[in-house]
Amino acid sequence: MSAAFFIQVFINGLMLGMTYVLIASGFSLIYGIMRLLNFAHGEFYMLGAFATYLLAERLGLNYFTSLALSMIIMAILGVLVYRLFFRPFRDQHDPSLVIALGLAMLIGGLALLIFGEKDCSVSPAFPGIIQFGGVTLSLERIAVIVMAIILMVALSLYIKYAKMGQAMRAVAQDREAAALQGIGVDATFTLCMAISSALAGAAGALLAPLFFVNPFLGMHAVLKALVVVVIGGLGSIPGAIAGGLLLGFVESIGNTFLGDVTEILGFVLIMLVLLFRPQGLFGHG
Amino acid sequence: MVKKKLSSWSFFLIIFVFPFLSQDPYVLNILITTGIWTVAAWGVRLIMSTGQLTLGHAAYMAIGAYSSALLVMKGGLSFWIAFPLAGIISAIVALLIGYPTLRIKGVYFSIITFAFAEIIRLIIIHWPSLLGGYGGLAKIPAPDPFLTIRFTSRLPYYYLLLALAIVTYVVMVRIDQSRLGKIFSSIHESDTLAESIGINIMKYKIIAFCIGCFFAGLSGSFYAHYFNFTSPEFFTIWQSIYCLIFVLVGGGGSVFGPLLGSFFLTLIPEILRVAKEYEPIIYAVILILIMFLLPGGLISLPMRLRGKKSF
Amino acid sequence: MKPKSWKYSGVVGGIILCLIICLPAPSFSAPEKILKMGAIFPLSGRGATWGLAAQKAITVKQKEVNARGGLKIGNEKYKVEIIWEDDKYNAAAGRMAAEKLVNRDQVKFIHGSQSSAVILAVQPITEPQKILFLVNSYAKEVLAPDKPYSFRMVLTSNEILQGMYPWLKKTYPQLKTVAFIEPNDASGWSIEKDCKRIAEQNGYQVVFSQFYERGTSDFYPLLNKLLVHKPDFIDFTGAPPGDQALIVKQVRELGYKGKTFAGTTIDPVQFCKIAGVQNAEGHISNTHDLLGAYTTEGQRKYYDDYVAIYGQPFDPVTPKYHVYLDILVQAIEKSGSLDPTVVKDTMEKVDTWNTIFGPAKFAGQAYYGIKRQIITPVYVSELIGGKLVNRGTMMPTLP
Repeated sequence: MSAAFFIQVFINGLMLGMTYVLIASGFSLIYGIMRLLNFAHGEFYMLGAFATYLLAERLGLNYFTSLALSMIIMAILGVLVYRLFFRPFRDQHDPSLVIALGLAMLIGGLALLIFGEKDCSVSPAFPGIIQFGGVTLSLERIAVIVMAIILMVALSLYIKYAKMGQAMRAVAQDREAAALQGIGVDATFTLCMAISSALAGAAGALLAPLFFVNPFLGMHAVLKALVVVVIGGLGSIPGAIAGGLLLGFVESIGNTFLGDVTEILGFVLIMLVLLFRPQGLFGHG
Repeated sequence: MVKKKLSSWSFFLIIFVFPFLSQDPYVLNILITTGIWTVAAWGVRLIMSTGQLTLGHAAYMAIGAYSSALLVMKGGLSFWIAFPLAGIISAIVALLIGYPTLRIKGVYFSIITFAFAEIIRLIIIHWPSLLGGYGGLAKIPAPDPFLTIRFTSRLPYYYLLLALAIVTYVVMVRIDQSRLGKIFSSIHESDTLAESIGINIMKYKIIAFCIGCFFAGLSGSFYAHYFNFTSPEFFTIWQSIYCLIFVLVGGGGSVFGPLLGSFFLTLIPEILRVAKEYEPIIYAVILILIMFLLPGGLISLPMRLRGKKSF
Repeated sequence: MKPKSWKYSGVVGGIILCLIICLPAPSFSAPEKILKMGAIFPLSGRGATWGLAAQKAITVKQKEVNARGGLKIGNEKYKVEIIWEDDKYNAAAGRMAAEKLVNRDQVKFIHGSQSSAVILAVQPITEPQKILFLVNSYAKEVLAPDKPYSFRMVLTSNEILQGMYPWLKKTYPQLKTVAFIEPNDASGWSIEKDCKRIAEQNGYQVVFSQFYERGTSDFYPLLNKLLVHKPDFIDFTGAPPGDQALIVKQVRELGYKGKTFAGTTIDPVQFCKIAGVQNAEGHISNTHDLLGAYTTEGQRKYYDDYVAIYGQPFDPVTPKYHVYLDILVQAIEKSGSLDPTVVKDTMEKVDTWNTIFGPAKFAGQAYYGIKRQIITPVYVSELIGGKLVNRGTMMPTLP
């Protein structure tokens, strides 16, 4: 096995990792700020992919326009879902869980009814591949990695420096103290849902041309997101990035060298992390 | 006290008498299936009563199912010995897993239980020589005749399950009312407080966890011998989630809750068969509606009605 | 503990009893003579593509039979009514569906299902009650001497590859080595065993075989390793259609120049859309273009009937499901009885059946221990310029 082989393994891991980061970051954000395990997050990812499909393939819009529009549509949907379903039970843990699950089932079921069960596909915005020294990378994948990095940097900067971003961090740390300081908890939650849903939509939009789109993408995505945020730390964006990349590399290396036993590895990893460092790599207790 | 005894026993009486009115095997099957999930859900409720939310209950059902099937098929034991043994094996695994994991709280514990459940499922899949892999274990024999009753029709299974349900119910109610139950409650309210008055919270959490998983094992064993077939597909994250939903929708506040939750959420999909492709959507809507109207679960209905009437 | 009045419990018990009464009632026949049958297929969720395909094909036949008044037994005609149930590709749901069909609707004939877990969970109900169960699925255990009422109506990878591999050997003699990719699930495992065995029987060397986690869309890690072994062709028969298209796309991106091969049917339009027309060029599959060569009269008629009911585009995955109802109707009419045992005996005795594929037989006495596997022609086609080109057809023989 040549150097090119190992470089390819590395790049595969990076690619897989960035996919997971995209899906998991929104999930982590919601847990961190709203303390809600949003099982419906995977369905938002799936809807983002379908939104892009409808806009780009059916309406013939330019891919980037479709991406931007998908994010906006998903953000609006996220806010609606928050207002209608999550806000009434903001502080009640058990009903929130059942409602999130029920929502996931509802959205998945509606998507199947409306879109049918067949796989749909979105034409790539950057067709073509580049090869150097035996390593292959398709241009679409590079585009995904680049855009994912841009989104993550934008998100991190926003949370660190923007007023609303800082408000979100305050609410995440201590909701009551933040409220006492005059930070609108509801407004913060709404913004959080909007951003998180937009991220899920972006993930769906970016990955749609790479793979395919069908109504069943949701469950798999949310379970992966769960693994990532547990490893990285619930509620931490750097954690989601680290966790996503770690999972990506573990799976890439695992699938290349160990075969299908890799599936078990992911869960063993979770258990180890939770036993020895339950707050995750970057999380705060 | 007398009123309470009347309430639960009148319900079980209805279930006991039902086959005298109708022996429709389709309905009996639904009631039996509901019963299996009720026993499992009671286990979840017990674990939840110490403040630990488990997302991996299906794994313990699987352990019970596979242990029981193998003890009978490979070990040559009678069902009547394999059945309680299956529960005990599940409880032992619960002890081994519970010991390191129960000190972890909240959502992190839930995720660990989920991870463990997946690991169990994957182990079952990757050990086909013993556990049948994806194809599962087929031709699991029915229980051996009990006294002179042979398990060739639905009825003996029905009454066996009823007996199991009654025993489980009584155990759960007794625990709730005993000192043990009060300790569980206090741990649920606040572990730090409980610890400060000298309660060894780990010990009690483990007890609740092991008992809960014991009943999961029993229900799994029954499942295997009733369906004559078991496969890793029967014990995925969704089954664990359903156990949890039965408790939350029915209401974790009383032992009666999971029973209600299990009934409603097993009957609803059957009734909705006529809705064909709309069934999953209607089911999801009903789930959400119940949570909206009765966040405390179905058992909180009379209190809500009374509450509203008082104005 | 909050005190509960026993009135509450009575009310709850009463409500539950009412709910039980609301359960689907047994369907009653109209005065016209009707034969009720059941069908358990995945109509939602993962396997829906196949389940819905089966529904379409069986419905085409059903409409044809009912248009001529129904099936004929003696002097009476029976219209065919099919009660469809969704097993959601999961054994527990399939089992509940079977319970309803057998105990509520009292059907004696059931068509189903795609998943071997569903079939294995349902057989303990259908076999003891002597209900004829026409099945699919790839698992070998589904057919067995102690399950005389189960017949498999579709070819499995075992039979399909027995037809396709010799064709491959003859047509592309320069191919010597093969790599397998299968999903980690029941059919994947079963198919991989068949693939290995049949490939080796035909003189191919297996250089690589790996399973992937269901739900994977990024096959780069797996393919990266596969390509080190430089296989002449890659066989991914067990993978679902979407995954197949992705594997083809990604392996071509990684520079693979060999042949891609799968013993399953694909929808060429969808496949090329996901994989890319150039990447899919030369892909060999078990799909038959009903408008192309090697098509029988029967298939052409089926194509017309299908389009008349469902319009375009035609779904090439559907034809193989036609035999379910086609052969059942023939068997019932030949046996002159609605008793499943008599029909079963007829299905055993009759040597050849007339299907849209031409003559078909049941075989498998040696391989399965019981003669219950249908043998229909195996088709091979290649994707050229985004279109299916039929390359041949052969009848598989079971060992």
